[in-house]
Amino acid sequence: MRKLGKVKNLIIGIAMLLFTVILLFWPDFGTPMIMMVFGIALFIYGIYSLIYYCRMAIHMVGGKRILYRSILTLDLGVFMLSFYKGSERLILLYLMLLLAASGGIDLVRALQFRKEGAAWKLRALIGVLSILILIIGFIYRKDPHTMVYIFCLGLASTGINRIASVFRKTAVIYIPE
Amino acid sequence: MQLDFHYYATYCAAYLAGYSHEESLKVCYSAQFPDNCTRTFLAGVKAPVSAATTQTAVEMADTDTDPIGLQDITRIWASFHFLPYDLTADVKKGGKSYKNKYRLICNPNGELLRETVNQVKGKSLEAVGMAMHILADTWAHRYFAGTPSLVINNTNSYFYEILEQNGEWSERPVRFKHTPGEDIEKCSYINSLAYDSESSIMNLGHGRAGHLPDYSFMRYKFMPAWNDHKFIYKDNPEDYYHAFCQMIYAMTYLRGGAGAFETGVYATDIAKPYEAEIRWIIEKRQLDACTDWKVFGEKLSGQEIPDFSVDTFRSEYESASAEKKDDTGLGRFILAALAQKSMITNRIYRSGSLLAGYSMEYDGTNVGIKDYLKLLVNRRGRVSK
Amino acid sequence: MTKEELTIQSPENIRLQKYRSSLMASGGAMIIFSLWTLLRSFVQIEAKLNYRGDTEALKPWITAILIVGIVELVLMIYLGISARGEGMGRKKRRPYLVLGIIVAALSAVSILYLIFDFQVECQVYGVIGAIVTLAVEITFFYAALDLVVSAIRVRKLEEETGRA
Repeated sequence: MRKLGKVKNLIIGIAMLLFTVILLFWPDFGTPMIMMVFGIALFIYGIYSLIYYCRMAIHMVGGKRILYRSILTLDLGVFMLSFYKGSERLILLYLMLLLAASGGIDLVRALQFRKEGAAWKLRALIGVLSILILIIGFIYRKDPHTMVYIFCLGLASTGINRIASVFRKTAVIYIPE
Repeated sequence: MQLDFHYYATYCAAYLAGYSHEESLKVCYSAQFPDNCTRTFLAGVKAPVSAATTQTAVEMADTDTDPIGLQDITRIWASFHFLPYDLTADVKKGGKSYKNKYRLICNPNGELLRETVNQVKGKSLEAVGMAMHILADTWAHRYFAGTPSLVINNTNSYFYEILEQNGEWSERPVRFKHTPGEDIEKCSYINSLAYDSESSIMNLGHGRAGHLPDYSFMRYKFMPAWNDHKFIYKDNPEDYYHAFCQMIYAMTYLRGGAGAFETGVYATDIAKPYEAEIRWIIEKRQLDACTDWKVFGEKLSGQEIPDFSVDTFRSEYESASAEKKDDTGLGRFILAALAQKSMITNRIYRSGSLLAGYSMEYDGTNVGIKDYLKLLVNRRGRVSK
Repeated sequence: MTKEELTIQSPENIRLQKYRSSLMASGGAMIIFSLWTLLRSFVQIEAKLNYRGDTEALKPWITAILIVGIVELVLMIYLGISARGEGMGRKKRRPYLVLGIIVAALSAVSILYLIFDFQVECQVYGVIGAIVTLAVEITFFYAALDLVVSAIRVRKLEEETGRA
């Protein structure tokens, strides 16, 4: 990764961790913030999809559906920003689906590692924790702060990963014959 | 391609190229092994995981689709299963991003194939086997790229099997599904889920075409996303026969031929006495041709070909001491795999694309991913000998 | 058929595949855009009713709007499914082309209305909201027009290639 990319990742990672702390201490403020974040994210994704269509998908067989999808995503983003007060349940459902998928994958990977004789316990623990958080989230789904706490877990994990990737070596050496 | 061709057919080609039975077994084992050498396996035997030559579905689902994760995926698949044909291809559409992905499209007889085969000259039989896997896959996996890309690897519902019976040709639509159980007679096959994301692993390689490229009997036409609504007719029997003859030529060269390996050359003269039998195996409508290839191979050599087992490499590697690990079959395969990945990453990087990540030529001090330093240690060992 | 007929593609067939692909995309767009428009309208109406409080007098109007919305959705689904069917090479349903022309014409009128009323839209939904609404309508118009043009060209090319 080039130096600029590393700096960018470090800044984003630290910003994510700071945002996590803010949300944890002020969950009432967190709920509308998260919904605004989703609305902005969808809007930006719509713009990104539009650019992707213009640069790449326009040359693809059936590429027009990317154009239609990008415009719809833009509209969905704007809609969420206007009506974000009513969207908590949708976002909570989305977060819980993500938890279920990631927990499931971690458990399956842990089983694969165990079968091959490699270290598997940490992976299994992470998978079990994800499923536990999912179950607790479901039990307390009516609590307005549940969504905030689950979102914070994901955000903190992504932030830590981003910071860790800054210190990872990624280049491949080539030794000519 | 799958076990029947990578293992048994490569054994036959190696034997016809002049290798002994034992040598042919080593070659064919390492020709199949790129489809089994996962990170999970390598972690299990405490071997360098950067030498992974394939990924399981779960490994891929587990890999982040951030730039680093995508580079890792591309490094593996472009190096061993979808060797790019022309890294300088100038397609008259799209910007740099599109061109970089287009240039990773796999086809046989490219410059990188020549480099791959020449690189293993004078190296171990395991390296030869690995190179034969890559060579064979350039024929089977034509028209797809070893990087997740919707705009290159996607297909649509235009998929027809071309059938020939008593000189009469016909076509019938291929039905794709996502649950197990393929049926040749009903023309029902499995493929990956359609997913409109550029970096989704569903759009890696020939996932959207399912296993059709790996069935030697299949003749079909389909419309790849990059080909401007022109369909491509894929004649697997013809491609597989070419792959077989090219493997014989390549191994004849690697056994002790003079000069350099050239593309577009096939040892059809050596295969000629067996052509009818080989074509019969290739064109037989079956999902798995292992039995027929095995019978043919045992007839050629008069010796038994053991079934493939991943444990053969594992047990030898695990029981070797730390100093001797590089001298085991797996140790030699790992060195070959690291060298191949390093070379392909370098070529893709030098073409101006970061799809396979960064490559830096070793200058005595720089250190990227530590696993690749094994190549340097190995080079120093060879030089001192 | 001969092998050459099956494995060599004529330029007319290439164009036929291109227009069939467009039909598939625009047919899908008709369905998804309509579903989304109806869903969004439901939520907007519900939000406004909650804000107003006294809704008894408005109930007949709301019912009428919902019925019109559902009828429109059914027609769009018919249009979309017909277009996608023709895109996959199945039999043609002539009425859907007329419906496609009507939809394209109405969408063009809607765009003109949005352009003339742009300032009011900005005040109600904000500048970005107004621009996105206009973009959605223009894209919908493009999809409808693309559907009509592609359907006409597909039929013409099928006659030329003898597959009608």
